[in-house]
This record gives sequence, C-alpha cells and structure tokens, in this order.
Amino acid sequence: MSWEVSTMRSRKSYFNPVLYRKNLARFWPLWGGVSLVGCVVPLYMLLMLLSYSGAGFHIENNDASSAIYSVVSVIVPAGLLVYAALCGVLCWGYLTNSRSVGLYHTLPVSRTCLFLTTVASGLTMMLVPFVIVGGLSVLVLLGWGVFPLKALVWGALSVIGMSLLFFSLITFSAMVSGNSFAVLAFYFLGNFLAPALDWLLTSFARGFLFGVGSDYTGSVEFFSPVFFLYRHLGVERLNDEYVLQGTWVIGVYVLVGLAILAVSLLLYHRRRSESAGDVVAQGWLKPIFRYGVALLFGLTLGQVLYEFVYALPFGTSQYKRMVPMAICVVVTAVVGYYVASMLLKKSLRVFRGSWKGALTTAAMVVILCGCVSFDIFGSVGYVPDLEDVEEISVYGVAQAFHTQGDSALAQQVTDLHRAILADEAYIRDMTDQSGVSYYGYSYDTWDTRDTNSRTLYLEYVMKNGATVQRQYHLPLVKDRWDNQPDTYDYKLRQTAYGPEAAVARVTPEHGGTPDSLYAQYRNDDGSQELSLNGDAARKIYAAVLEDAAAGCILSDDVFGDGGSSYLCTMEFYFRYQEEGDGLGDYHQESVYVDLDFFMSSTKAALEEVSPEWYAGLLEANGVTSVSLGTAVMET
Amino acid sequence: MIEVKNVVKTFDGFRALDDLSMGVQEGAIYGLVGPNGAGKSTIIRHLTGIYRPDSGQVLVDGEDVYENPGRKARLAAIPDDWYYFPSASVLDMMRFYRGFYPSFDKDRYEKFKEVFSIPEKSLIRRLSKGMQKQVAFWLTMCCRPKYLILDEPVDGLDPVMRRQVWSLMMADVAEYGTTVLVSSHNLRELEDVCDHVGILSRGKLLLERSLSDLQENIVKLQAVWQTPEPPALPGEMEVLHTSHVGRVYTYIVRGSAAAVQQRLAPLQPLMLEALPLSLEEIFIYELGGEHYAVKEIVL
Repeated sequence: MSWEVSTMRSRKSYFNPVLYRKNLARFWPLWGGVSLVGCVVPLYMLLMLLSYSGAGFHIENNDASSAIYSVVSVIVPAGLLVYAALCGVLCWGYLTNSRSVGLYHTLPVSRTCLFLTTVASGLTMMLVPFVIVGGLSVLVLLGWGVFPLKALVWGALSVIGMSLLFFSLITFSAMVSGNSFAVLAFYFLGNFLAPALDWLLTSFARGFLFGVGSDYTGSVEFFSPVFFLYRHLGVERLNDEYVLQGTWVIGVYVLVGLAILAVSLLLYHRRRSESAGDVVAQGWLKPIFRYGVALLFGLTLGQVLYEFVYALPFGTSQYKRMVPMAICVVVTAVVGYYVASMLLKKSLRVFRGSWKGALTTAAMVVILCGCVSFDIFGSVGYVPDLEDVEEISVYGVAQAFHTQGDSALAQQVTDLHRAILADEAYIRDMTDQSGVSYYGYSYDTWDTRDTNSRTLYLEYVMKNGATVQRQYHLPLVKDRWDNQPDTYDYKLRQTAYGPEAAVARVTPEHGGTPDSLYAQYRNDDGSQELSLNGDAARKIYAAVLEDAAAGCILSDDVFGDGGSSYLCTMEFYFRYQEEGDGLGDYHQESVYVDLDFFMSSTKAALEEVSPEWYAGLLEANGVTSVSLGTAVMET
Repeated sequence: MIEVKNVVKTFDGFRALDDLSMGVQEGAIYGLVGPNGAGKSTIIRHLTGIYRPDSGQVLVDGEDVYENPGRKARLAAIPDDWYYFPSASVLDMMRFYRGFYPSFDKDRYEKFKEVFSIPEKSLIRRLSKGMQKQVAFWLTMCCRPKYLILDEPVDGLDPVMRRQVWSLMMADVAEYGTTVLVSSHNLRELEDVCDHVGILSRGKLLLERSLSDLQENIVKLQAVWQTPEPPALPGEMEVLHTSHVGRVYTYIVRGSAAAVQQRLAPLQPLMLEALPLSLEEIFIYELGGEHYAVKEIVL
C-alpha cells in the first residue's frame, strides 16, 4: 500500500478511541478509588434501612427524593470542585512535561481531536463514580420498593451539569498554565477570586470612605461557582413533594462551561508546546499575571502590613490614613511584582532592567489608593433616589425596620442619610476624639448621661436588584437630640424612634393580620405560656399597632438611666402565600414585639383576653398596684 | 521531500533558528550535524510538528506539517528524550502506537521480538537507558514511516546493537525508500551511513551537500618546500587552516584535490600530497571559520 493511501484520511477526526481508553486505563486508580470510597453511601443506606425495618419503618419515594436532593445540593458541589481538579491535572498532565508534550504532539492527530478526546475521558472519569455509587444506591432502594425516578433524573442531570462546569474550569486552567502546581493554583484561586477580590476591595475602600459599610458586597458571586451553587441550591417542600431548588443555576453554568471549553480549545491551538513547565503558558496572560499578583499582594499583605506598622502602634482613627497605607501597599505590591516575575522566569535573577515594571506597579497601586481615597465614583455622597428604591432596611438603632421606597418613612430615612453626610467632618472629628476604633466599638469615655453613640446601618434595595449598604458610627449629644432640628441626632430620633418606624417594626413584610400569638414569662412555678389564635391574637395585634402609632413602643432608651420597663416578648405568626404557589401551600412569618410597661392599649387588651396570665405577668415583673399607680401618674 | 523554508524560532528573545532553510530529498539519509545549541533538536521538533515556527514553513511532501495529521502519519521520530507512559510495558506502548499510526506493522513487531530480545511485558521504566532506546527503535520502525527522524538515535546503545540498528535502518531505506534525517554528534558513524550532510550553526545552515561533494570540495594537503620558509600561496586559494611540523606543512584548502595541486605546482614543492578529510575534520574546519575552533589553552 502506498504512503498516500495508507496515511490518507477521508474526514477529520474529532475523537480518538485509543487515547480515550488509554486515559481511562492509566488513571483508573483515581476513579476506581473514588468509586470505592463512594460505595460507603449505598452500604450505609442499606444498613440503616435494615436496622429501621425491624421497627416497622417505611421509606417512601419522597424520603428518597429528599435525600438525593440533599446530596446534590450539599455534598456534590464541593466534592466535584476537588475531584475535577484531580481528574484535570491527570488528564492534562501531558502538557506540563516537555517529553510527553513531544509524544502527544508528534502523533498524527489534530489538537482538536486531542482536546475533545481528553475532555471526554476526563468527564467519563468524573461520572463513573456517580454511576457506580448511584447504581448501587438505586438497587438498595429497589430492595425496599422505592424508585424516585424524578429525583434520580434531576440528580443525574445536576451531577452531569456540575461535572461539565468544574472540568471546564480545570481545563481552562490547564490551557493557561504549563505547570501542574500552577494549574491547581489557578483553578482554586479562580474559583474564589471574585469573592476574594470583592472582599479585599470593599474592605480596602471601607478603610477610607465615610460610611461605606460592608466588607463584602456579594455582587460578583456568580463568578465563584461553588459559592453561587451553595447560595442557590437547596431542597424545598412544595405541594407535599420535595423539589431541588436552583436548578436554573446549573443550567446557566452548563452554558458557561461549554463556552469555557470552546475558549479553552482556542487557547490550546494558540498554546506553544515549548511552554510545558511554565507557570503561564499563554503570552498574553503574562503581564496580566505579573500585575495581578502585584495587586493581590498589595491589597492583602499591604493591609496586613499597615495594621502592624501603623494602625496598631499609632492608629486610633476609625478610618485609615492615606499616606501610610499607600506606602504599605506599594511596598507589598512591588514585592508581588518580583515574585510573579520570578515565577514567570523560573529564576531568582529578575532584578536587572526590571525597574520600569516595578515603577509601573507602584504607580498603579498609588493611583488605586488615590481613586479610593478621593472617592472618584462619589460613593460617599451618594444617597439613592427614592424613585429607584424598592425597600429600605434600618438596623442598629432599637429594633430593625423595613419600609417601602415610596413611603413617608423612606423620605425621612433619606433626609437622615443626607444630614449625616452633611456632618461628615463633625462625625469624623468626634469619633476620633472619643477613641472610637476602626471597628466601631464605642468606649466608656463617650457613654455619659448627655452623650451616647449608635451605629446605624442602612440598606437600600434598588428596583434593579442592586443593594447599597452604608454604616455610620454616630456620636449622639442630648442637646442636639432634643433641640436642634437640623442635626442628624434630631432627625435620627424623629425617624428611627418615631411612630412611623414603630409601626413599620411591628408590620410583617407580607402584611396582613396574625393567625396566632405566643408569649411567655417565668415565675416561681416555671414558664407561664400564653397561646392565642384567631380573633384573640388579632385583637392583641390591633392594640400593639395602636400603641405603635401613639409612639408608646420604645426598647432603646438612648439617654435613659438604664432602668427597664420591659415585661415580656410576644411573637405574632402571620401566614401568607407566595405568587405561583399551589393552593393551600402557606409560608409563615413572625413579628416579635417587646411588651413595654407603657404600652397601655396592649396591656388592656391582654387583661381583657387573658386576665389571669396578665396578672401573673405583672406580678412576675414586680408590678404592684402602688407602683402601677405611680407609673401612671408619671406617664 | 522535507523542505524547511526561512524558518525563524525565538525563545524568550533568543533566536534558536535564524532564517533556516534546508531540504531532504526522498530516499536520502541526511545527517544533521552542528555544535551544541546550534538548533538541531529545535528544527527536529519543527519537523515532527511539535513546534510551530514564528515565521517560515516546514513542509512534508509539499504541505505544512504543523497540525496536519495526514502528513504526520508519514513521519515517525525518536527524540533524544523519548517519552513512554510511566506504567507502560512494551506491549502497552505498541498498542498505543498501533492505534495512531495507520501503517503500523504488527507482523514486523513480532519479528523484531527476536532482534531486540526484550520481554514485551516488561515495564519500560525498569529497563536500562540503552534498552529503552531499543524499544523506541522497535516501535518506531514498526510504524513503517516514510520519513524517519532521529535525534541522537544510538546514544546509549552498545556497539553490537548500534550496528544492528543502523543495519535495520539501511535495509528500510534500500527496500522501502524510507527517507532518514538523523542528528548526531557521532560523526564517524554518520559518515558511514549518510549520503547528505547539513551543518548547522547558531540557528543557520552553514552548508548542505552530498557527502561525496563535501569531501571532494575540501582537501588536506601536505607539502615540503624548497626553502625553510613556505612561499606565499596563490591569493585566490581559500585556506581554512595551516599547520606545520618541521618543514612539513599541512593545509586545509577548499577545492578539489586535482585543482589545488595544479595551482600549487608552479611553486615547485619538494613534496605535495593530497589526503581525503573525514567528516569530523570537515566539521571542525568548517566551524573554525564560525569561531568554533578548538582552542589551545595552556593550564
């Protein structure tokens, strides 16, 4: 046979069965070992069912579905994250060694064929343990007459989807690196980079910016699949049937995984064989790696260095100082730059002629510090327009409350927000003088009868789904609180301690009237409980609303003498239905109300509905007819 | 035919191949020689489709070899650092090769069992370096390649096995017209098997000729002159090297023996003799002009 005939290919080949089988045969200890360990699951299940059978226990499809969904939503994401890393490092290992890359790339197959075959073998390695463990588990369930088909299908699809995602991520890492350790580092770092950067940048900004109140926004969590999957996957009972929540997330990630594989294939074609062993195998990625590592070093170690060399010995301010912080960040970023250069060059001799890069790094982080410090995006002075606000939540002063963006109370909150911003210099000055630490804890020197402090948390949920969070540590002065209407102290009293806020606090998120009420107090005879349903509970709740509107609910006496007028806590239960829920499927919401001595309407209603319990409550709190009369006169 | 046209390859700013052009005719045994770091292994990795050139072309039978499975199927290579799977036996690697090379000859594999005398179920990693090289030869020859590319092929083999391997290769050339490109530092062995030679230096091809042309175009002359001081040689003569012991002068001169002797005849030497040069001597004197001469260092 001639060369032309024997080597002729009638069509392009995208899969090589020899390589596929070779990969599975070479790496059987991994998938075989994982399968063996996984067999503990059906064995445990079998033993449990055997042990329960004697006690007349019956397992149903629904129980099995719940267990399958729990495994898929709790164990599988983290398990696949690790297992995909192992499979990927083995399957793509040939790219990290110049000898093996020489053999593979000499073979008469295209890179597309090598890539697709390796992906197929990697995915097979990932799924084989699930097939074995799942198959044995189904056999055990069949022994008890249970076959949750729907849960099995959803479980299998979810596992396939997540396997595809995680294997595509390790494949991408293998395409951009030629070193096994670096492949793993890129993979795990990549999986957590987005939330890590979110946390680093937000905590960095928080150190400079007045009121920027969060260490973590969570806005980029989608780019960390494990985080995002755990955030959205779960088991829910709906219409007496368990369902897997968040399957849409897996669907989206399957598309993302396919896109990542397509990009990885392109990168494989661009990849130079001689990059085997290199930390970064793609030329275009090298400057990104170098400056990215520098930035990460600056943001992490820079902040640590600042704490050690400046904040701990000298710093008393709630906020960080720009110059020392910039110096710390520049120093650590330049160190990061040289570390990255050493990794790229695989040599410690990187200093000659590298001053330009080091200077660029320094300039880059100085600009970053400047941008954050001078608030170029104007986040400090930003107060959301109420037209764009869905809901506002206020925490930290008395009980939390929530209000809709179009309410009068929302207008009061934004007025308070503006008043706080107008007094920024005063607040910074006062908190520095009073020794308020960065973390916002107040010290005794500030807490006198005429002065106090509170940390106010504001959270705006915007109509587009975004959130704006602010946190202000507010020094409060009694004179301003009582007599100066233009100050934030006064506006805080009007807003957070006014009747509108009080009504908002006792109003459930979904509105409506309560179905039941539960309260208890303790006396010498033990716990005395009050449980009311229907009209009785609604009567008490109506009295609570009346007291709230009259401004009689107050559980945070800012300038008080520390005395307590608290009697007990009442818990109202509200039932509501979500849109799209099946008929008869209700959710429950609770509202807690601290019964105060001055809530006269509520007390009267309680006395009317349950006089014995009410009398016992007063007695347990040491309220006699004499003290009661005195209190009424004082009121 | 293998054609390399103006290939440039750079590694981190170092130009490993510098506008290299060369050609290997079908049926030829082409010896690629050059000093360490000249770029021999780099051009071999281009020829086998591992490396992609920065610019230029590497053609096999008129088509680019990079990412061309059809052309790569006609090639088989034994690199200096042949790779085998760590847990593989000879039999495993045979199955692997057979799955990729459409022209793999299983009968030949069976016949070669007697030649190489290595148990096919033995793990390759447990074999000595020389035996691993034999396995590489065994499997590669069974691929029945049209083009056989070898990088230091007999390095580590004992003299008997060296002769055996060369003999198998020569038989393939004679019987099937296999084209061989071999890179080696063992010039004495290359001289015995090669019909064409290319000398590579600093990423460029210094010369590329048939071995007979090469040996005919450079000559070693030994002369004894009438006077103690040698006369001035004709200006158009290209003398690569001169040395003398007593009154016997030795010249390495470019040109055929007859032509050079004819030119020197008017100087009336007492004795003038032309001697053939070995490939090793040609290599040394050619590279002497490239500042790669043997340095006489007194320690």
